[in-house]
Amino acid sequence: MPNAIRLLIVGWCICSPATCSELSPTIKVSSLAQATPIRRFDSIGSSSCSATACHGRILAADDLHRAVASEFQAWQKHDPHARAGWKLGNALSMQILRDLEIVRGKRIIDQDGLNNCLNCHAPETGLDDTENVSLGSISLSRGVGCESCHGAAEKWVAPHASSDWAAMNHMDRGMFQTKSLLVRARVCVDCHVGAPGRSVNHDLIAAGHPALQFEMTQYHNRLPKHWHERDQTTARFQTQLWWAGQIATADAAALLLESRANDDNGRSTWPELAEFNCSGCHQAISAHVNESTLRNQLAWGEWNFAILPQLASLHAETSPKASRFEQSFRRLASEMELLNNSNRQRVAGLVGSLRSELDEWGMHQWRNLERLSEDGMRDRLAELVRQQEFISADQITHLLLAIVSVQRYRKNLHGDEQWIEDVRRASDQLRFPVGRELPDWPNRDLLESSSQQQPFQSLLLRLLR
Amino acid sequence: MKRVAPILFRLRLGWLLTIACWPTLSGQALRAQDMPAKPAVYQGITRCLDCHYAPNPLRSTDFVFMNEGKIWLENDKHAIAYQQLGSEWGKRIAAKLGIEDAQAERACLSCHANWQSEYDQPPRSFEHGVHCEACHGPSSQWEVSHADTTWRQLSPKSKQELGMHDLRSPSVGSRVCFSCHIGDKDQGKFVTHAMYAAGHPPLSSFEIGSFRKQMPSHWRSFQEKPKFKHRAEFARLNGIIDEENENLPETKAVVVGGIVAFRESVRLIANQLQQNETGRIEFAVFDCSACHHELRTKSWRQQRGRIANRPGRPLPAIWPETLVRVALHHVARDDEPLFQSLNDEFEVLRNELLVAAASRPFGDREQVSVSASRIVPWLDEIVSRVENDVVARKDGQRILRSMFQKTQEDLLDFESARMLSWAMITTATELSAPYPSFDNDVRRFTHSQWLEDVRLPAENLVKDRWKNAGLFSDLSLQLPSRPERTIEVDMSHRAAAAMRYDAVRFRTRVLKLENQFETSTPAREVLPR
Repeated sequence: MPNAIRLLIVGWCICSPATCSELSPTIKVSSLAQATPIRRFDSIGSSSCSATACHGRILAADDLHRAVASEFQAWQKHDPHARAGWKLGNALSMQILRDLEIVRGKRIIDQDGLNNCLNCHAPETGLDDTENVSLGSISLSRGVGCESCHGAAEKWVAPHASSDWAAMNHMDRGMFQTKSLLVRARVCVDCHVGAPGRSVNHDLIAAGHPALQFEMTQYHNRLPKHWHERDQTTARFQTQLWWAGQIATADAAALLLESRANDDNGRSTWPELAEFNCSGCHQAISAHVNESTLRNQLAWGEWNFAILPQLASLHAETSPKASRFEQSFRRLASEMELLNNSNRQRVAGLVGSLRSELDEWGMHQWRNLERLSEDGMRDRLAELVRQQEFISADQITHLLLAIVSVQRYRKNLHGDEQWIEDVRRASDQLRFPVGRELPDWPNRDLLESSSQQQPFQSLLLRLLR
Repeated sequence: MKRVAPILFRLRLGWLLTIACWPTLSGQALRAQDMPAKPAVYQGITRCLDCHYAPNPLRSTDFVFMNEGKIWLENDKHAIAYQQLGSEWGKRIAAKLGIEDAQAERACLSCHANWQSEYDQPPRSFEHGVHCEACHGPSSQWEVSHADTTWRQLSPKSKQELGMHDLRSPSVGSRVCFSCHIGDKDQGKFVTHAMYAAGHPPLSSFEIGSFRKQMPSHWRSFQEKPKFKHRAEFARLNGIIDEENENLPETKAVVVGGIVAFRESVRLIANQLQQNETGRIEFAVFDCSACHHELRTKSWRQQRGRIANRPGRPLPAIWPETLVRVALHHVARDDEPLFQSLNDEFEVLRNELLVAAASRPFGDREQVSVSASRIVPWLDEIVSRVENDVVARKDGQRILRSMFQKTQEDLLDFESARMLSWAMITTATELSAPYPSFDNDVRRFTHSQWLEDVRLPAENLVKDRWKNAGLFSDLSLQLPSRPERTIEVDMSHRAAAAMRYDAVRFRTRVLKLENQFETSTPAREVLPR
């Protein structure tokens, strides 16, 4: 075969959508609105995908690297998403449903409340609505299935197997472009952070639901995958993944707050306490009277916005987009932290402008990731560690997670025993005290005696070598 | 004739003068209706201490020992209330609140020096903190007249009109205490959440009987005073019924204090939320532990079940309502249907309040004030029914029994458990320390002997039982009485105990105590939910 043709074939194999990741993106997302999954079509059920001839081939399901066509088995057997539906039937869930007066006995008395649960835990129940349906007949077995992440397949199940598929518009037919890390993250956060109709609010948490604290790189790296993520162990991938997660999380959190401020579903949940850090209120009344400033202050947006405002502030002087984003975040945070019960409209307005600033600055960062060298992200984090004062456990945790994600595959640090030891030491400082379910950071007395602040800072800098 | 007229005139003049001066000559006090109407004025502490600092050997101590001021100055923390504002701790709180000098700050002095809202200046002797007139009332109208024994022949109402608060009445007395120890917006007395966050010790649950005793009390109850002039008339005027060892005044105070606690707490919530038009929420009217608790899965809080059907909504302070059901048991005596109907009425009113407070996070202002306006008069009715009736020995036992019952029926939070424990200790002590009988030779009775032989041993016995059950340390029941135990020390114990507290453990431990006390029938064992 002539060399040119060989070259062409090889080139096609390398660059075709089937094998390319974001590194040579074929999917360009130009705005956050584009990345946001819009669920407007009907789902047909994961069982449709599970045909032996399609995504349900019986290969050795443990052999994930080879299971290109055993996605269904891989998901069914290993992925916790498959079990999400069953969770609704366990004792804790039933107690929550009863305590929130969604269910009385076996009767459903609050449709919206139940749909709020089903939209995340078992979106493909196969019911048009849950009215006049007994609890026992809702199908929980489908869990979070194929279409929850890939989009309802009504309009694309037929064409996506054909050879014309590459030329068609996938998004218009309802397929979420999960090849793009940003879209992928945005799909995850729809449930893992929340969305209108998928809200884990403070009532739900008080009733027993775990509070949501999502971080993309950690969740993604640990997820048993039904696809082959080839570049997972590269620094560039992890950096992109981190940014995708941060931007998507922030966007989802803002959208969720907007919907809470605009319409509280008639349940009068304003001010919505789940918007804040838990330890802002849930802290032991301490008898220890000392000189330190108020610890564990009520703070808004610290988990979901993580260190984005701080990263923006690094460039606030040179970049108007960054400065606008940071300021709109601070304005909204101050307004929320008043914990006022009649400021919903003000908050809705401020969230709107935050979302547009996030879109501008966030997408700008996303597009420029290409040009960000491996050392570039490292340098930014190092500057952050040196300059910024982080006062809350949430922010420090995010900083550490970012450092670990970005650094781990750089220069093979993940194989470096000293580096791993340093990571462990840093995490130990963030561990909750024994028997407690709340962080005790920062321990202001230690910080102010300057015996803890310095070593921790230099520890982080060591991690960023 | 001419020589008789001047003599007659002098006689007539003398006679007229005698008639005019008769009241004074006979020693009768000026009666209330003779006094010109003018507002009573705070005169400061020196006038009180002139007499009440040390017994005057010429004066009888049948009625008062006359050493009240000394006891108070040397032992009572109310005496250092103003001083504390200038302590290290006080200065730290002030700094965090942005206040230059707490000792000049109205929001602090309202409680710490009894600076009432209608006055432009703090009262005289405000450097002595919460002193005599803060509780006994402004003394300008009665300072002179109360020294005479005929003062005892006035009704409490007349005394009140002259400005002396009727502290013998459990309802009036407890309202005075609660005006600071819970708060009263009308008097300008309120500890805000900002103050707590700045370091002000959280106001603890407050049980009238125990707290008054540990001040230490600088007075004796009627039952401890066998002989004084006008004793019978005094008893009649002050509603002291059937005093032959059958009236348990402390237990009555415990019960009435329990109801008034809830009343004042409800009034405070309604007042606070009503003034919150800007939407700013005042967290201090809510139960501290509603937010300030360790997050746990499978916690006793979740086990407690929904009080107002709304998980995640902070509720108003719970401890004030702890003794209300006990009071209803007492009012109904052994009439079970009556108790049920009273209890149902109470539950309806209380649930209305809780639903209003939980209808949205931190409550709905209008609903709460409507609900409060219904609860307060109902509670006042119960208060007068308890106050105007005797609490006999049988009643005391019933009350103690129903307190034990309360510990089993509900899973109590930390402050409620403390409130109930203190109430039980006071009631049990009074039941086991009979008041002296004055049938025998009254002259042989000495108060200090009675204290030593009867009262203190009973008190210690009851407390020891609680200590042996581990409840004193579980609940930090030791009160910061006398200078040896400061608020700082107390606070460190209390905060640690609050962190460790487990409602199920309390319930189990207290049940074991029950058979050590005479309550005739045991509390029903209630299956945990």
